[in-house]
Order: sequence, then structure tokens, then C-alpha cells
Amino acid sequence: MQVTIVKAERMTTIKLQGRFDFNTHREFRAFAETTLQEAPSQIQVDLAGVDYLDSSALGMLLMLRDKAQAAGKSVALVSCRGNVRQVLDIANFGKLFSIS
Amino acid sequence: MREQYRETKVESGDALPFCPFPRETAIEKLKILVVDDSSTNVLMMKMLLGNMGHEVVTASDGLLGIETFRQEDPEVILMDVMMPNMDGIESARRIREISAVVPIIFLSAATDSGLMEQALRLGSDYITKPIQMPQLLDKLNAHFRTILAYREVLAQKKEVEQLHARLVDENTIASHVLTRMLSGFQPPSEILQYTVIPSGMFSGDIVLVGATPSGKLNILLADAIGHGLPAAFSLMPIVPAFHAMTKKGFPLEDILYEINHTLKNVLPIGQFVAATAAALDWDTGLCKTWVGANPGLMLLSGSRLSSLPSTHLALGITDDRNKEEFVCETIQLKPGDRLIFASDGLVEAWDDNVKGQEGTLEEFILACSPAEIFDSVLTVWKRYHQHDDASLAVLHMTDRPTGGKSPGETVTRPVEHARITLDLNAGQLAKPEIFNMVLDAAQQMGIVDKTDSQFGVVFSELFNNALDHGILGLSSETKYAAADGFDDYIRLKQARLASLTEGRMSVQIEATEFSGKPATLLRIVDSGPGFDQTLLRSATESVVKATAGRGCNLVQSISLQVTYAGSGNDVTAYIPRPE
Repeated sequence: MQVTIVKAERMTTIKLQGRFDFNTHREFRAFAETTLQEAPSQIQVDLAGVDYLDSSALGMLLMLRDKAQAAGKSVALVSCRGNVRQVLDIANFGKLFSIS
Repeated sequence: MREQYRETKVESGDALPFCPFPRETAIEKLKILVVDDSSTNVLMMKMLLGNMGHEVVTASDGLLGIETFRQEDPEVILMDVMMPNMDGIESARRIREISAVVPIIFLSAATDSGLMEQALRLGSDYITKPIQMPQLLDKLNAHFRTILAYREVLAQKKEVEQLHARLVDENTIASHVLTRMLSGFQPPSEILQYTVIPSGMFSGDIVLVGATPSGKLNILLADAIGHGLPAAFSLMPIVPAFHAMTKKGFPLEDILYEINHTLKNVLPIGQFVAATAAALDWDTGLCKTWVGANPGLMLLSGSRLSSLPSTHLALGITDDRNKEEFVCETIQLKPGDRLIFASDGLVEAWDDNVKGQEGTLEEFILACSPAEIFDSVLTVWKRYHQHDDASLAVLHMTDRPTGGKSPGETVTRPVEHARITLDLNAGQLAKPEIFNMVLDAAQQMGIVDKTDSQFGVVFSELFNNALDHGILGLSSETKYAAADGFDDYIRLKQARLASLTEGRMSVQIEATEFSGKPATLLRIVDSGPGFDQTLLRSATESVVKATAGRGCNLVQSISLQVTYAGSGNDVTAYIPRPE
């Protein structure tokens, strides 16, 4: 998986590309931690380039959300399409995140 | 000898830090395999190398050389070329199949350059016979780094083998414990079939089944994130909560709420458990369902297959304030209907590997004979190579399940003629859990056996009759007055309970005998106006059957005797006790 961080004034975007699964655990965690410290109050995870997402990825998103909440920041999931959107819907993540 | 070796160690080390084979003594003790058919050569090398402090193991031909290599794990091999049974080249070739890195130095009298080339391709070096000891030591020194590297490989290999052996031991124990924890209520297979197929030694899927005191069947299929031991462990807190609460007759909503609460407390953030749950009341066919982050629960009714999709988060994510997450849907099952539970592992693997040949899971199920859905799906699914844990359960809506006692469960004998009598006031009756509290009390006192589901059924019917009709003044006709009459009835009951200020109920439960056989006496007296119980005896009119009939028929069929007294507000039933 490829991770790109795009920083704007009010919003930091974590862009993910490729397979978002258990093997990306360390990488995502490291990025999430550094991003969280520096990020403004809004963080979005851009899933446009993700072609596969498993339940471990859902766990990682929950972890990010939990840490962001503790730091008083919000996390949104954007550009969720096709298979990715389906997985998020079955897990009913709409109850936890703003998804678009 | 050893003392001398120690003294010279520092000197030699200073001069030649990587020289384990100084002309006199060794710094490092190595294990050397000598393969040679000449006993003179073997003896000579054994003496010389042995005297330097090395351990020498020997073999007299190529074939024995392979065997000794396997058994002894030497760190370097000295291999003669010309030998009976199997020559050194063939022996080295076979040893290379076992280890690609063990240093092999050939000892050869031959000057055939083709042979030497072959030897070099398989080994690290060669030395020509007759062997000059200084030359041999120089060669060994030249390859010392390789030998050291191989020694490290060997040490790691041993460590891995030990770790693996320990892991297998630990896993065997863990697997035993987990399997024992999961074995419980086994309903007859005409009613429920289920299986869990782990992708490894442990399963991240689980199917739990239990019967409530009033005979309702609770089913939970859960799937924890990930695989193996961590996933299996994440499921553990679910097991005792599910079984304990099911046995006490808690509603499905409460069970899910409690399991979520426990998981939220014990699981790390990011770990959660997807679940599909159902609670079926056999008498009414009403079935509560709940799907959180699992594939939809499938309902096969006639030739129609519909899916009840996931509308909830997985368990272990939300905090306790969010009670809405555990609100269940209620569906009406008809005889012949089937409920099909499948985990993500089964559905996803079907889509990836099976769909191309057999069509979608839905199409396949529709093409099956309903009674054989479980076996057919499994047979086909197993034909393809699968990676994830998978589980499947099929519930057949047929008749009431016959007795369900966990294997090995001890039956506590009721105390003879022990009795409890409880006088309940309006405040106590308004509590939603009052029925369970009374039943629990009777069980705790040893008056009613915990596995006695017949008593549970009768008590539930008579208790609710007294409460609904006697104290709350509800009419059964509401239930059947309209299509969603049952919902209206429940709403009305809740509203009246909430505003209940007067009314009393007396409940007496006694372990006794009836016509010389062990029985439980149940007497319930309510403060309501009663009803015309003669209607029950001439229960031929459809209006009676449709209203009070259903519950009363059930009570009559289970009980040894049912009698009404007073104005119909005083009922006594004798229920046979399990042997």
C-alpha cells in the first residue's frame, strides 16, 4: 500500500493506494501517529485508490478515529466507491464516520 | 589438554582473530563429520582434530554419511570422493538437498579435472590426498567464516525447532480449552445444523446455540477480526455471557448489549466481532434477528429467498450508552421456513472461488432441496481451496426442539417438598425482568431444575396470562385484530406496565408429587377480575382458539393437571419433573 499525506490549512488528507489490509498495519499506524500530531482539527482518509479493504483495515480506521477523538480531531472517509463502499456499508461504519 | 587450550587461547586470538584451526590447538570447538572408507584416514583425522579440541563424527561411506549428517548436525563435512556403496559426489548432492549451505570439503586422490569440477560445484573446496595436516588446517581456516555462518544457521534452526515445539504444545492446550468451552447445547439436526471450519488450528468464527427456560432457541454466529489465536481469544468473552444469559431467559437485546459491553472492555481498539443473532419462539414462530457487520441473514420461505442485511455495527465498538444498536427486528417464520447464517469467510470465498462454476450462493441455495441446503453448500464449498475461517448454520422451522441438555452437565436434584411463595406488588410487576427474577429464585433454591424447560414454558404462559389479562386488563383479541396486531399488543402492554400503580400477584412454586410421580406445583393468583374458564373446556369455537386458546392448550398438554379456582384468577398446575 502507498500512503501520501496532503497537508492543507484546515485539513490533512491521508491518501491510500493499493490493498488496505493486515499487512499494512505498521505502515498505516506510523503514518497515522505522525499525521495526528501535526494535523489541524480535520483529517480525511481518501480511499479512492484502494482496491481492497479487509476487516483489519476497518480496525485500523477505528484506531485512527479513537486517537483523533482523544486529540479533539475528527476523521472523515472520502472517495469510497465500489467494493470499498460495500465493505464500509456492511460494517455500518456510517454510524461512526462521515463517509462520502 | 583443556587447560593448555585455555592458556593459548588469548595468544592465538591476538595473532589470528579468525583462526580456529591454528597448527596446535583450536579456539572454537567445532563438530566435524569425516566421511571416508579408509579407516586409517578416519583414525588419523579423528586423532589430530580431536586432540585440537574438535568433536569428530565419522561415516564409512556416502550413504552412511547422509544418515550421520541428518542425526548429528555437523558444522563442516570432510568428504572422500571414491567410496563403496555411494561415492562422495552423490552423497554431497543428496546432502545439498537437505542443506544448501553446510560447508563440504572434498578429500580426493583423483586428479580427474571433471570430477574436481563436479566436487567444487557441490562443495566449498577440495584437498588432494595424501592429506597433509597443515594443508587441511589451512583449508579449514580459509572457510572459517562460512563455517561460522553455518553454525549460526544451525543455532537458529534449533531455536526455531524448539519454539515451534513449544508453540505446538501451547496450541494443543489452548485448542483443547477452546473446544471444551464451545461445546454446549446440541439441538437435533432436523432443527439446526451448524459448523465452523477454521483455516488453521484456531477459529476466528464461532457458532453458539442455547435454549431459554421457556424453550426459545438462541443462535449466535460471531466472526472476530483476523485469524488464529488472537481471533479465537477475542471470541472467548462471548461464550459464558451468551450461555449464562440464555439459560436465564434474558431477551436477545440484553444478551447482545452485555456481550458488546464485555468486548468493549476487554478488546483493544480496532479489534471487534461481527455477529448474526436470532432468537426463535417455537410456539408463535416469532423470531428476533440482529445482524452487525456480517453478511445478511437469509430467509428461505417457499421459493422466495430474502436477505436481512447488516444494520448494526460489529460487537465491541460502540460504548454502552448506545442501546439502539441492540434493538432487534422481529420476523414471523412459518413451518417449512429456513434461516441461513453464513460468515464473511464463507460468502467471500464463495464469490471468489465458487461463483464462477456454481452460480451465486443465493442461486445455489434456491436450487437445493430445502432440507439439504446445509450439506449441499458445504460439499460444494469444500471442493475449492479456501483460506479464511468459515461458518454456516441452517435453522429449520419445524416443531419444538426436544429436550436440550448439555453433554456432561450435572443435574441438581430438586429439594423434596421445598416451596417458595412470592407476593409481588405493582412496582415489582412493572419490572421487565420480573419473570426471570422469580424463575431464577426458584432455580437458585433448587426447587426447579435449571434444565427443566417444560416448567419454564408453563410458568411463562401462566405468568403472562395473569399479568396481561388479569392485572393489565389486556385482551388477546388485540393480538389478532389487525395485521400488526401483535405490535399493538406489545406497545399497549408496555404503556400499561409503565403506568401500573395497583395490582398484586402471588406465585407459589413447590417441588412435590402428583399421582406418585415427581412434579412441580405452580399456583398463580392475581388480583384481576378473572375470566370464564368454562370456555376453555369447550374450546371448539374458533374465537376461543384464536384468543386464549393457544397458550392454554400448550399448558394443558405439558401439565399433568391444570385447575382454575375463584373467578378464574387462581390457577394451579402440576408439571412433571425431569427424572
